Amino acid sequence: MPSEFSVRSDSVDVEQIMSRIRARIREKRGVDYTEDEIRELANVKIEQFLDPGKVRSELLELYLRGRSGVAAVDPPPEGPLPARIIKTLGRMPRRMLKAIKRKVRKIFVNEHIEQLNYALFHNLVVELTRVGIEVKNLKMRVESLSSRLDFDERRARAMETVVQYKPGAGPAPDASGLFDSRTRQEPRGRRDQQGRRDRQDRQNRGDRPERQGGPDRQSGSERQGGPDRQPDQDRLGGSDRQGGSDRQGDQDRQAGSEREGIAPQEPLAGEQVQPMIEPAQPGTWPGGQAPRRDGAPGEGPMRGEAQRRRRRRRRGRGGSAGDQAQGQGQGQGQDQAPADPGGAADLFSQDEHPAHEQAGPESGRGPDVEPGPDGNASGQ
Amino acid sequence: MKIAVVVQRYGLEINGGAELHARYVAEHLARHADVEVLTTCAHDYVAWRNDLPAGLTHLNGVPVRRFPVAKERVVEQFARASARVYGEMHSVAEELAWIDSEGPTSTALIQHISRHKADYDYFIFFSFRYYQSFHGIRAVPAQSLLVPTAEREGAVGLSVFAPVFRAARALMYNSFEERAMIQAVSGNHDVPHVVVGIGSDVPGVTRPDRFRQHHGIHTPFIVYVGRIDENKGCKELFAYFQHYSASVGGDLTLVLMGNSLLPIPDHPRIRHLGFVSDEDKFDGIAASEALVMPSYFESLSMVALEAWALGRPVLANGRCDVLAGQCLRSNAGLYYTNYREFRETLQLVASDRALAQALGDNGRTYYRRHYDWPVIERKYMDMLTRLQQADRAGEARRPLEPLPGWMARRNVNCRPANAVVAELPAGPAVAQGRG
Repeated sequence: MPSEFSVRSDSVDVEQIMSRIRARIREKRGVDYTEDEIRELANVKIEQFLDPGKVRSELLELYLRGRSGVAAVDPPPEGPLPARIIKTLGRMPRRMLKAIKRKVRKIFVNEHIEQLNYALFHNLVVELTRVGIEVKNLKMRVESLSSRLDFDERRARAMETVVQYKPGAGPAPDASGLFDSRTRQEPRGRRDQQGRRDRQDRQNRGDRPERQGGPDRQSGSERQGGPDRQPDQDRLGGSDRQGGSDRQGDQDRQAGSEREGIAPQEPLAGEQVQPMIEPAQPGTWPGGQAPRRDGAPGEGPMRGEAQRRRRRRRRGRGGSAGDQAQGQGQGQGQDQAPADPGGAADLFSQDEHPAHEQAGPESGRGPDVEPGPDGNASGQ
Repeated sequence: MKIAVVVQRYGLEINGGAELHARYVAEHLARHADVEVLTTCAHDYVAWRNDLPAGLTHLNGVPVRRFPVAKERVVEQFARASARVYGEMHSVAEELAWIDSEGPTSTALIQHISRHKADYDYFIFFSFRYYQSFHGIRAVPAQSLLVPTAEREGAVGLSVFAPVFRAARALMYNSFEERAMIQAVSGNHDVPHVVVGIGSDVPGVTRPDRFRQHHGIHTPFIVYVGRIDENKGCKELFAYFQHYSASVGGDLTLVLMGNSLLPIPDHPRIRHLGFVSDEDKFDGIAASEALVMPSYFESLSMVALEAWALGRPVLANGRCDVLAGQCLRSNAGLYYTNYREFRETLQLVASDRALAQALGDNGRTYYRRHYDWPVIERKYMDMLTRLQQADRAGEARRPLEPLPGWMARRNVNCRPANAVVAELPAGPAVAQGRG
């Protein structure tokens, strides 16, 4: 690469070359800080941060005031030991006394005590600041670990459900193996039948009957988004633990997407397929959406899933039962109807309304909402 | 005239800067005077272990008298003492303890100097910071010449050394920057001195093609010669060169010669040859586009002088006052203080052949004028003759200042050495010794 400088070889002046190089760098990058200036700025910042005068400016004054106050209020009655010794030697010539006094003072009195004390205070403040920063750092790590623990607990619970599933006793589980599609998406009567069959099977095997499918199943109620959802909601957007809520949101989003990938189960003859609708309860967050801290709805970690559900609902309104069955046959989801061509047009206007308004009885879709575990048919 | 060269270590295989400097001076002065080397039995500079036999031997025709080291250096103790005297208020007693822990504590060597001072006309002490120089100069101040080999670091700011700088009969500085620093810290302007430096045994003919063929290097390259160490600025050099290689491109290679204390980056344009022979070193420098010298602290870079002697330009770290000053005074090298300057200067040297040639020619002229061995030998002999004449004329000498008494030594009234050094004048000395 040819040089942009034209330097005469017979009259090289390094000083001039260097100033031209620096001018060229300035032209390229504009006026910039030199390394020394950058270092100076960095040092100033660090000094401001660690300067005891900035950390607690009154500390040194307090200390000095305290010292002077002590000296004024409570002076030593007879002076220090060297002075007392010197008093007793009153007959000695004054010059000799002064010389001895100087020597003795050098032995017993450290004239740099003020400096040493100041240095001590300075170092203490610096160390305290450092320790404070370290404590904050450790707190953050603890929070991070606790949120990880929450996540692991929930995952372990999900895994337990999978372990208790008996192959061949009912429809196939979802592809991921983490969630049982029946508990959520089947009509209640059928689920009761299935639950009874499962309980019977487990009793035959000697298993514990807990955590089985059915309306009284704890995990099922947690997924319904009803009033019993509160513990989960605490872990979501309502919690102050930011790390925990984020991780929880991730988990739920993941679970939601896995639920969507579940293989549809054939509905029984004469049975109506129920779209998956969350009950709208005052004081709860439909679809698991947590309110934002500033009060705006729909910004919680469950927003994506809620939107998907709303879309499904809109599509469901525009199609007949036959269309729905056709849609299932095409693999568009268990409770989905074929997409309404006009559905996308009003997507924006519907998104402006809170989710519970869309899912309310005035939507005219009939009793398609499961009652919560406490027996209240919130959607009816 | 009988001269004793006093240095902490001495030997053919000892390649430390000051030690090599001392050997070269001893061997070259031996042509003009009766020279004897007084040193220790130490071979390594970390522990000062007595690896070599005590007594008189001969090396390259120069008699060498070795004395045992009384105690090895305890690195932890030295580090603690250094932290104390460099960074905190301290006492003279602590500075003296620092010198003891620095070593090599050869009391036998100091006793020999005291007892046999009449046998020598002058003692040339190398490296002000070591035990033998401090106590040796205090033992024979009227006969002592000091080659300080001082870098801009904390030891210069220790209060016990200022009287030594003032008490020596003469100082042989390596550079104008070193002189300015020591004069500022000690006020020894009236002590006879000369900026002398050191020469090098550069071969008259080099074979760059042999080097390229032997090492399979067929692209243009810049070369670094010396210990590959973070303290020498090599880490920064690696970062800068990798950045340069990625942003500028081309086939310019960085060739490294010397033992490494740093991991060498795995980069296609960085070649590490390890420790090489003098023949390889000189041929490699001659084959290079430029010698790069990234060190922050140098009292005199011998390898930079060798590059100039071979007519190659030097690319130096401008934050080292000595190197920047030499580049400016010689008009034979460029320097950088940050990556952007590194990039521009390297690009310029590597791409502008005419400029590189002109810089190299200036370097060769500068070396011949100031650092060729006849010049160095003449400067030493002139100084010794001058002192001898002054002694014969009975000129008054500055007396050696005594150390503080037992009590005063324990007063914590010495400022941190680093703070003292930070206040010393900095920057290259441009006005002196141009050309």
